[in-house]
Order: sequence, then structure tokens, then C-alpha cells
Amino acid sequence: MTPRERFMVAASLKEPDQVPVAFLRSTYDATRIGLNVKDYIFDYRKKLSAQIKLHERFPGCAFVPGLNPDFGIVPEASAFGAEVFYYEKEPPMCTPVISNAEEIDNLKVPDPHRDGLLPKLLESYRYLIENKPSQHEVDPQAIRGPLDLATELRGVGPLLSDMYRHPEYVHKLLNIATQTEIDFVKAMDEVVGESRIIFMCDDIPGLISPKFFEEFGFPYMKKVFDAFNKKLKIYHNCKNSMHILERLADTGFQVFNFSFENRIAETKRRIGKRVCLMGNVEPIGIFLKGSPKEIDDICREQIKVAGPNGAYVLSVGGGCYGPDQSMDAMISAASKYGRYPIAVD
Amino acid sequence: MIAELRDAFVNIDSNRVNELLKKAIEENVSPRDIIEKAIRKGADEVGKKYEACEYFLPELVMSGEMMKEAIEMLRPRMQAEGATSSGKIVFGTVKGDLHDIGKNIVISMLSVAGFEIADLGVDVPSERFVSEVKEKKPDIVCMSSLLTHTMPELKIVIDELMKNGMRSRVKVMVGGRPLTQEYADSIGADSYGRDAYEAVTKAKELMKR
Repeated sequence: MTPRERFMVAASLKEPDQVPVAFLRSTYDATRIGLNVKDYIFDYRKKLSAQIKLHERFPGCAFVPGLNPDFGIVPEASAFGAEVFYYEKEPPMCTPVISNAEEIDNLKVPDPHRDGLLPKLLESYRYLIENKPSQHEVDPQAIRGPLDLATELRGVGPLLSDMYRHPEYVHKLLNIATQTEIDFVKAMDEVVGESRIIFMCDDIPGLISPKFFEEFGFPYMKKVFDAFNKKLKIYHNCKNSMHILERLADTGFQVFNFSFENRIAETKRRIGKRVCLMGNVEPIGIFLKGSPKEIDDICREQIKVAGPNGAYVLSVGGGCYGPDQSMDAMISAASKYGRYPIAVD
Repeated sequence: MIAELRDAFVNIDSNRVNELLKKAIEENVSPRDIIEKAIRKGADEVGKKYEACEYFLPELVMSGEMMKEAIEMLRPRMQAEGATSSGKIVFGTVKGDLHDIGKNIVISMLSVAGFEIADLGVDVPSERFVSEVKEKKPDIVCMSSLLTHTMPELKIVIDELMKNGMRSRVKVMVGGRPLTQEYADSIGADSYGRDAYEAVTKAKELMKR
């Protein structure tokens, strides 16, 4: 089985030949081969080459998404006019476009073929499809969750405050953000044909109470996932989500890349029969700075806890970057300890 | 009145907090009592609920905003009564960093503790820190960095203060999620605040040095 095939079997809640390993892809990948992040984003040839090099360097793991346009977290916000800042070695960032809640009335759902970075992103997506080697699969750009996009447009602090002071405006903004994401995915599908996956990133549900998640999170996330029934839905949240686990799973994703702050055994027990879990090695102290031996120990423990009965992908629980030796250690641990059937003590 | 105000604060009922604050001012309740017994105690209770996972980030943000609003409403009375300042602080998020939630919460807590704060906002270049220190002559410069790639800016500001002959005149406190005490020591900061509560304690300690 290829790593991608393993991932897909685990995503369908079954046991592959061994526990798959998957890493989130991000613009940090540019820095692995000494590219400036802005060059990586806008030079499609260099981007394709960088992404393929990464696949070739780590043949034992899957990447989520696979080859993809990889414009970072800013493309949707840019379509609303958000100013984008580029850095040499870090993903781009953007500033909010709304300075008070009432301005939400002026926002309109952008046109992905015309606004901000989205047309360039679609162009980059087409380039990848037309120029990739045949053995590689291209995935769409990761999308923001509705709450995540809403905080990019309004600012995190102001949006969280608006939940108390101006809830009606928060709902207006979330409706716009939800439709933006649906239109964006459809536009990517129009360009190159229907994709197999949708990958949504949204940490904000982990920062709000169950009551606020029910009001401001759940309906909007579910609406996006419901719009794409045939796709495999992967959801990333690198904040603690123990307080809303079941309701998060009810939104309709099949793979959950969850935070290192979540207790893995409890997460498996509570939702592990409904969704495939992907995680959750601690990203900074262990994956970024730990020794291969430390990573091996943690991975063995995680496989023992979450691997039995399948529906598990070994990965990092947040963050997007680790040195080569950490990635090698994780891939090696999966092949050493993750062969099915996995013995349970 | 004080108990009711504290309860409204703890319940994140900002409208009620504003109503009660106006009433307390009209009835000449001491601003010191309002701050110490209602606002600060209310904020402490919100902090405890956050630690216990009863409250989440929106409640912490609202607590910071309500504190800031209360200080603004009480400021004229405090000035009229000659309340003494705990110290003067220039505060900003360093260049390249657009995060401000943590900074705003710390500023609110420091304000409640009696510090006068000049908030420089986010993405503040080192030259601005230097010029503000020159102009405002604060006791402390506070800097926040939430991103690993903006952390070196903290040292750049400290070095610039040194070059401009101002380092000995001002204390430097740093904070932000990726920072540690070791990092703060390595760049020559005088103090590091792990969270908003510690920042207040450390700022008071710095004033005694």
C-alpha cells in the first residue's frame, strides 16, 4: 500500500496494513529547500518542484493536503480586501478588514474568479494539475472554517467580544464566511474537476464554550461539510476541543487532526468509532525539539492507545513543521509498532 | 452595590456593569472600592472560571474590555481625588506581529492595578519604541511577541534602547506565548510575565527595583 492508500483506508474507519503517517503541508515547506515563502507561493514551477522533493524525501508518509496550491491561510481573507504581509520564512498573514461590527453590513461574498488572491490560486491549482508527474495526486487548497475566516476578517478579540455584544452581526459575518468557503471549493472543482477531499482548518471552536460553539460554530461548519457530501472531509483544529468533541464530530468530517492538548485515549473512546483520528504528538517540545528516541517512545505509546481497530493516522497535534529527523523517527515508529493487527496489552 | 457590580462583571453582563458603574459614580462610591472590591475581584473570579474551563476566551476578552471601560469611566474621579499612579508603561506588540488579545488583557489588568499605559498597538517597529520612550519617559517598556519569527524583535528593541543611551533609564518586560524566562534572560530583559496576572506582579516588582 502507498502511504496515501493507507491514509484513505484509515479514513474509511478500517485497518490498513499498518498505521499510516501523515503530515500537514504548509508554506514552511518552502524553507526546507531554501526558498523564500513569497517566491514559493507565486512561482508555480518552484512550488511543484518543492512539494515533489518533499514527497521524494519522505516516501513513507502521506501529506495533507497532497500537492496543492498552498497559499497559506490568507487567500479567502484577501478576497475581501485584507492586506497580506509576506515573510521570508513564515506563512503570510493578513490584517482584519472590519473595524466595527456594523461594517459587516458592507461585506459581500467575494467572487473566487475575480477577487484577491483567489484567481491566482486557481491558476496555480490548474498549473499543478497540468504539470504534476502521473504518480502524484493534487488536492485542493486547505480552506478556512467559517469561524476562522470570520476572525481573520474581524480580528480574533473583536469577534469573540461581538459574540456577547453584537451576536446578530456575528451571524451575518458567519453566513458570508460560510458561503465564501462553499463558493471557493466549487470554484476549485470547476477549474479542474471534482476533488476527492476537502481539508478545513479552524481552531476557533476550541477557544469558545459549548454554548457558543452550538450557536456560532456548529451550524456553519456543518453547512460547509454538507455541501460536499461526496468528498472525504478532513478537519484540523490545534486547540483543545475536549469540551465539544461529540458535537464537533456531528458536523460531518471523517478525519480529525486534533490537538496535542486533547487526551488521546479519551478522544478515541468518545469519537473514535465515528471518525478517523489523526494526531496528536506534541508539536514544539517533542516534534520540533525532541530527540528521535523521544519521538519513537511517544509514537509507540500513541499507536498502542489509538491504533487498535484502525481509523487512526499517526501525526502531529498542531504546528506544521518539524526537522527531517523527527519526521523520519515518526515514519519509522509507525512501521515498527503499527503493523496490523496491533497487540493490545 | 459593590457586590451587585462584581456579580454582573463575573456574569459578563457588560450592560449591567455600565449601568451600575454610572450609579456608583453618581452616588459617590469611592473609585478605589469600585476597582478593588468589584472590578478586580470580578476579574479574578473570571480568571478562576477560565482556569477551571467554565469560561473560555470570549469571557476573558470581555473581562479585559469591561475592565478597560470601567477604568475610563472612573478616571476623572480618580484624578480629581489625586489617586497616585503605580507607574508609567509603554506597551506594544513588536514589528511583524499582529496579535493583540494577550496584550489587551495585560493592559487592562495593569490599568486596574493603577499603571498608566501608553498602548502603541501592534506591529510596532523598534524606532517607535525608542521614540516613545524618549518622549513619554516611562518606568517600564512592555513588549509582546506571539510568533517565533518575531521574537528576535524583542532583542532588537532592547539593543536600540541601549544604543540610544536609554536602557538604564527604563525597565523592560516581555511576554507572549512562545516566550520563556530563559529566553527573556538571554535577550537581557528585566522581567518576563507568563500571563496577565504574573505581568501585574512583575511590573510591581520592577517598580521597587
